[in-house]
Amino acid sequence: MQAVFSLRNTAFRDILFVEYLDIESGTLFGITGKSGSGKTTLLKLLNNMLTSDTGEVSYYGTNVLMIDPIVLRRKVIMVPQAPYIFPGTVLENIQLVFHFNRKELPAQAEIENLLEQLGMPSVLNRSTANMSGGEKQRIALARALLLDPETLLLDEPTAALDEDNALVVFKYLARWIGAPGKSVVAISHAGSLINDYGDAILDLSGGRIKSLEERSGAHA
Amino acid sequence: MVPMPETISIETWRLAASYLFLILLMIMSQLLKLGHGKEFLVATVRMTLQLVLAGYILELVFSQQNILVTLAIMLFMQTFALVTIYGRVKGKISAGLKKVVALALFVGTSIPLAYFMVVVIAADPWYSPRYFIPIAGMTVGNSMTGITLGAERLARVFETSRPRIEEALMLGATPQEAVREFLSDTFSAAIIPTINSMLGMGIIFIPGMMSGQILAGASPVDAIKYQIVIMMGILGSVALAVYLITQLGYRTFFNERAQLLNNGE
Repeated sequence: MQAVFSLRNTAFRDILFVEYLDIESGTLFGITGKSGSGKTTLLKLLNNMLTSDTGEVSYYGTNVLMIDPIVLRRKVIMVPQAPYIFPGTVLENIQLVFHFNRKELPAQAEIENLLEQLGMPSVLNRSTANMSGGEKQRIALARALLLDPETLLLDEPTAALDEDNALVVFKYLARWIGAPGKSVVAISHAGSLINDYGDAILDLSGGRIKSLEERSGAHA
Repeated sequence: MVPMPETISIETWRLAASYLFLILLMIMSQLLKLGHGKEFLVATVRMTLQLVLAGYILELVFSQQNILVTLAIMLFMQTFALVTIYGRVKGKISAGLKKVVALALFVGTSIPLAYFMVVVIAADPWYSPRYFIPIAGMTVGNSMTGITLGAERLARVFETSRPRIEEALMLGATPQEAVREFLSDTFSAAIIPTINSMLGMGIIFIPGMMSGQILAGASPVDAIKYQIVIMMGILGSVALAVYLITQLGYRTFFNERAQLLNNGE
């Protein structure tokens, strides 16, 4: 299988040191580890929001430094742990990110369908001002999914969700990577649904790889 | 039109008599136990010395009509303004933004001033110090305020709105798109004091320059013509300087990989 991301002797300050890592495409790749273990830094190296001090990070075999960072970030969308939702309505948020990506807005029915699948029916014209953390997290995820990127980088995508909604999200992601050319790299705390849905789980400790568990028969 | 009376030249003893107000202030300060008497005295002495010096220098410069001397005075004013801005924003802006501040000040004031002298005033010669120097002073002074406001505001935006800017970048926005709204806000905030001063002009207050001209014997109609063109010159200069600050300044917060830099990097 082809690697979506490859890291070779990648170091960032005194936060992260990864000698060798391949993340296979078409998988839901989980990253776990205590806070401060370098998880978010690793994710930000993948979409060139940060640049490693040494070594390299490649996206489908091309060093990310050789790819226009804006082009890369339109293919590899990241949703942070506490996503920023722009002022206005949910629809306006979606319109804005489509404008960023120079893409045509999908039909309203398609947008509503996705939001409904994430457990948020009839929110399109709601103001984002008084939304809960869980709602914001799902809006951010929907915003990213609608852009139809090749790869999604998710930082604790279900941290603000209750169990039922977290399950909805993981089930959706498992279906999403079934489509050709789609991959997900998701940070999630150990013992979460990533254990059931992850195709591989990387455990980071002190910025180094503690273990990498490849699994078969995931996406239960 | 009614012929204007000759200007009343202020005799030295009358000039001295105007300092009565300082004495009054000192007495009030004493009665109120403000303890600022020394500061009032220093301010008055400084004002007097600075103006006397400026008066004699200008007399000399006006009599010379030398282009190099005139331009050197403008450069001195711009440099003094730059040092003042750096003093005000000390520790708040990065080295990169400081360079943009300098560029905005020099370009933002020089270009409108040149246009003004050649097209609007059409002085002969174009650098005629009698016109050039006072107008340069007003232009540089007002731009200085606009640039300070703009630079401070821009630095604050990048300090307080990092999550929003980063989110936009992670969603595929260019740095310019990620900060577009903030640039508009910064531009408005920096230019509003100039616009506000235009709104009240002639009703709430008679501008200093116009008052000066009227006192010096010019007809009010001539004085307003000067005031109008100078306000337009100031507006142009402030607008250009602030535009440069926002459009070039935001770039100093990103690197060539469209990553948001930490403050001061």
